[in-house]
Amino acid sequence: MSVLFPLFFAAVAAVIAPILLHLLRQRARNVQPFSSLMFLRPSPPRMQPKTRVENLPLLLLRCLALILLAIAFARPLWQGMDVITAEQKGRTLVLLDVSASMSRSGLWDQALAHLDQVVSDPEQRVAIVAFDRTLRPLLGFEDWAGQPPSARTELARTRVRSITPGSAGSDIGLALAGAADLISDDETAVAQAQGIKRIVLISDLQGGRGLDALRSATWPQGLGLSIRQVTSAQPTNAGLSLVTVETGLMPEADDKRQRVRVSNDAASKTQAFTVAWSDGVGSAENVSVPPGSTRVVRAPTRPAGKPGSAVILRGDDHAFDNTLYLTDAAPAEVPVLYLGNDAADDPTGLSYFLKHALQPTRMLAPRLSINGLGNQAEALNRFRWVVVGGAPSAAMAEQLTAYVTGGGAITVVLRQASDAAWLEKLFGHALRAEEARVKGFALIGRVDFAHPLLRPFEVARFGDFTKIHVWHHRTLTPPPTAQVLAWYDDGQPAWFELPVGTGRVLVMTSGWHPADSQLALSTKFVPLIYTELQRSGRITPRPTQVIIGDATSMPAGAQTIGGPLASADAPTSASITAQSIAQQGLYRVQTAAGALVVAANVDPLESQTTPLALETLEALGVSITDADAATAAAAAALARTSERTLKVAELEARQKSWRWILAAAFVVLVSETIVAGLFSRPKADKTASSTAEGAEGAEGAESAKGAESAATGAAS
Amino acid sequence: MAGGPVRAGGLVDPASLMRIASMELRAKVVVDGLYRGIHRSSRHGFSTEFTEYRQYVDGDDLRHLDWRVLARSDRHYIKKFEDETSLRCHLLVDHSRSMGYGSLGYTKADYAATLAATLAQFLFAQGDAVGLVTFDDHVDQLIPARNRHGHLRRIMHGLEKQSAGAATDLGAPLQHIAEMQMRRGLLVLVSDLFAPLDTLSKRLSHLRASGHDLVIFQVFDPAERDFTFDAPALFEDSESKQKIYVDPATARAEYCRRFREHSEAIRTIASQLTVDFHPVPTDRPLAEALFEFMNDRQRRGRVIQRRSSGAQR
Repeated sequence: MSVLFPLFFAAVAAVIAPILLHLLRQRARNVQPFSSLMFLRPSPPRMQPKTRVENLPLLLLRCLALILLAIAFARPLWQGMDVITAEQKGRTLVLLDVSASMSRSGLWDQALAHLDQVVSDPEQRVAIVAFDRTLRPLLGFEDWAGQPPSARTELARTRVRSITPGSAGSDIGLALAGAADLISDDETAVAQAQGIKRIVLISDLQGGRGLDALRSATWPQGLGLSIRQVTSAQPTNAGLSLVTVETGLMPEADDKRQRVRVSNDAASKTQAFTVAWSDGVGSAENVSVPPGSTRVVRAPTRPAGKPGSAVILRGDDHAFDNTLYLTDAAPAEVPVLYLGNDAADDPTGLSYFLKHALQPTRMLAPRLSINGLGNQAEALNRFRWVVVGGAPSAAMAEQLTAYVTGGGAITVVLRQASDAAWLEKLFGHALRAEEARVKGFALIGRVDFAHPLLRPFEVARFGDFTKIHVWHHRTLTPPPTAQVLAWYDDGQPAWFELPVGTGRVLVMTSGWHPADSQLALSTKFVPLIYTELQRSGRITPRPTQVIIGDATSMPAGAQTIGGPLASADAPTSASITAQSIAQQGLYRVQTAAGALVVAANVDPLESQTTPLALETLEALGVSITDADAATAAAAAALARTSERTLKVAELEARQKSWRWILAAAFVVLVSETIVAGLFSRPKADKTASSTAEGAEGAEGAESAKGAESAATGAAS
Repeated sequence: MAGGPVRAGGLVDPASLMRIASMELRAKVVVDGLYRGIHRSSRHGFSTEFTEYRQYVDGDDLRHLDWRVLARSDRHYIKKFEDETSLRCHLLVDHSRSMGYGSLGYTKADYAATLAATLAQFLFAQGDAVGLVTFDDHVDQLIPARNRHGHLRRIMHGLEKQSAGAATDLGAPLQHIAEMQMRRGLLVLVSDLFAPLDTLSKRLSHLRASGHDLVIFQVFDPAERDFTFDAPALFEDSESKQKIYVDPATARAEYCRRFREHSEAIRTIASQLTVDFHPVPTDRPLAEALFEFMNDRQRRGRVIQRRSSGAQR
C-alpha cells in the first residue's frame, strides 16, 4: 500500500489534542458552591495520573475518528493488486518526422534506431504515423493487433523502411494534435479498460513553424508525450529563400535579376557563403551573413537567353535547403487595339506615344495592334482594351457597341468635336460636343482621386496635374450617369467614364498628342496608361513558387503537364495537388489562366533547425514523460516525477479508497456522539437505578431465603 | 421532637433540630433542653446581684420585699436587683449570601437564625426586652426591643423570613445601628464575619464607646473551617459568583491557616474591646452555645455599670 499525499499523515499528530483534553477535562467539570473565596487561592491544574475508565471508550473513538480522517486525506492506494494485463500495458503512437530537416546526415538513422527500440515490445498496442505538414498513417492499431505478437515488430520495421524524409516542412503542433485524436479514437473504438497511453515523438524538434495547432486543442488527460530527439553533429544551418516579388507595374529597371535571401543560424560559426547558379554559368556571388541575421542578394548575372533553373548556396553544413529553383515570372499578355488613322511612327499622332508607353514589364506584356477606323475583319473580343482615336465608321461603331456591351473596355480620345457623334448613339444622350475656346492654355484643375484610374496619383507627390498644359480641348455635357474623373480649370469635364452594358467607356476630351496637350510628354502619362491597362486586362496574380507540402501555395485547379523539368520521367496530365509534388524542381502547370512554370522549393521555415524548447510544449498543457538522455537534464527530472504521479494518480483514481475511509470516519463520529450522550446523563439516574437494583436484589435474596426456610420448615 | 439521637446530657444535635419547621419550637426545645441539664434557678432574675433598696410602694411585688430590713426597722424596702434594670437586647443577625452556605443539610443562616431565636426565647423569658436587626449589606428589618406579650412571636417571624441576601458588609449596618442611638444595651452579633476586619473593629469600638455591651457569635460551617473537600473543582463564591479552580489537596493547609488567622484576629479584636466572642460551628448543639453565653454574662455581670431609674417591665 502507498499513499498519494504522505504529508497528511502529519495530521495524525492532532490526536494528541483529545488525549490532552481528556486529561485536563476534570478541572473544568465540577462547580462547587462555596460561601466565600476570601481564604482561597487558585491552584494550578494538575494532570490526572490516569483518566477515569468511563471516558476511555470516548477518547478512543475520538482518536480513531481523527486517524481515519488523516488517512482518508492521504489517499491510500493499493499497488500490486492491479495486475497489468497485456492490453492494459497501454497504447503507444509513434510519430515519425519525415520533414526536410530530417534528411540531414545521420538523423534518419538515429530515428530508425529509436523506432526499433520503441516497437521492440510486442505486448503494447502500437501505431506508427509519419508526419511533415500532414499526418500519414503507416501502421494502424488494428494492423498491429491483427498480427501475431512475433510478427509485429517486423511488420513495423518493414513499413517504416518504405519511406524516407521528403522535402516538405514539419508542423509538430498539428502532428501532436492529430496523434492525440487518433489515440482517443482508438480508445473509444476498442472498448477495453484504459491503459497507459503515450505518444512517442521521433523528431529533430525543428520548430520553425511553431506550435499554433496545439493552442486551440486541449491535451487529453492522462496522455503522456515521450520525446526521442535526434540531433545532428552540426546543429546550425543556413537557408536560401526567394524574396517575394512586388507586383510592380513600372517597367523594371535594367537589373532583372531575381533576389534571394540568405539566413544564418544564431549559433553558427561560419559567415561566408557563396551563391551561384547550379549549372555553373556566371560567377558566384559572395555574401557574408552574420550569425542570427539575413542578407538579400541578387542572383549572379547570366548571359541573356540562357535562363537558369536553380541557384545553390555553398558554405553551409546541410544541403537540404541550399538549392532554390527560380522561375521568371511569366508576364501576362494583354492584347490592346488602337483604332485610328495615324501611323505608328508619326510623332504627332496618338499611337506613337501609346506604342512607346506600352513596354513589357515583369507582370504585363501588352501586345499593341494598330488598325484603321474602317471595317474590321477580325472580332474585337480578343482585345482587352480598345483605344479609339477618331470617329469610327458606322460598322465599326456597331462593332464597338457590341464589344462594349459585351464587357469590353474602350477609351475614346476626342481629337475634334465631331469624334463624339457616335457616342451620342452609344450613350443615348446628347453630348453637344464643341471645340472649346482656350486662352493660352487650360489646366486640369480638379481631379477625383477616388477613382481607380487616378488612385495611384493620390499621393501628394504625384497628384499635381497642373504642370500639364492643355492647348485644345472639347467641351460637352456628359450623361448624368457618367462619373467625371477630372475637370479643367474652367469647370468643364476633362475625362469621364460611363458603364455601358457590362463594359465601360472612358472619354478623354483632349488628346495626349503634343498638338492638344502636354499629357503624353508628362510623367503621368505612362502610369495612367498602365493603370488603365491593368484595369482592362484584369490581371490576376500568377504564383510561380510552390512550397512543397503547402497546399495553399499551389495555383487553383492545377494539373501538371510535366516536371520536374530536369527529370526524364515526367508525369502526364494527371490532376495533381501540392502534396503530389514531393521533390524540388521546376514543374509546368496548366491552369485556367494558361500554362505556367512553377518552382517547387523547400519551405523556408524548415531552415530554422533550432529545436523547440520543451517548456513551450509544457506550457501548452502537454505532459512530457520520459525524455531522451540527449535532452536537458531538467526535463528528465520533470518527466520522472510526472510519469510516476501519472501512473499512481490513475491507480488511486480507480480505487477511490478514500471514500470508504471517510464513511468509516463518519460512522465513528456518530457513535462518539451517541456514547458522549450516554455519559453525560446525570449520575443521579445511575445511583437511583443502582439502589433500586440493589433493593430488588436484596428482596430477591430475601424471598429466596424465605422460600428456602419455608422449604426447610416444610421439610422438617 | 423528631426521632433523632439525643446527645448525652440531653442536648439536641442541630441536624435533628433543624428538621423542626417552627423557629419558636426550636427555641423552646433548646432552652428546655438546657434547663433539664442545669439546675433550674428559682430566681426569676438572671442577675441576682443586689444593688439597692427602694421604698415600698403599693403594688410592688412582695416577693422582693426585704424581710430582714422589715424585721429590723419595720420599714418596707424593695430590693432592687440587677435584673430589675432594663436590659435592652438587640439581636443582630447576618442574612448575607455567604450565610446561605451549608454542608450539613442546613445552612449557616438557618443555624444563626435558630441561635438567635434561642437567645431571644431565653432573654425574653428572663424579662429582658429583645429586639431584632437583620442585615446583609444594609439593615433589612428592624424590630425594636420590647418585652410585651406578642413580641417574641414577632421576632420569631422575623427570624423565619428568608432573605435574598446580598453581599456581606458589616460596616454599613453597624454604622446604621450606631447612628440609631439606641439606649445602652446588649448587642448580640450573629454572623460568619467573612468580611474585612478593619471596618469591623472600627465599628465595634464605636459601639463599645457608645456604651453598648457586645457579644459576637461567629457561625461557620465545619467544611469552612477544615476545608473537607477532596476533588479539584471550580469553587464558586456565593456572593460574587466568581469561580476559581482549586485543588483541595494542595490548597487545604493554606486555607485552614488563613481561616484560623482570621478567627484569631477577631478574637484579638474582641478581647481588646472586652467583647465576648463565641465561635460556633454549625455542627455543635445550640444548647452549648447558649450555655456559654449564659456563663459569660454571669461572669461579666459585675463589671457592667448600669444605672437606671426604674424598672420597666
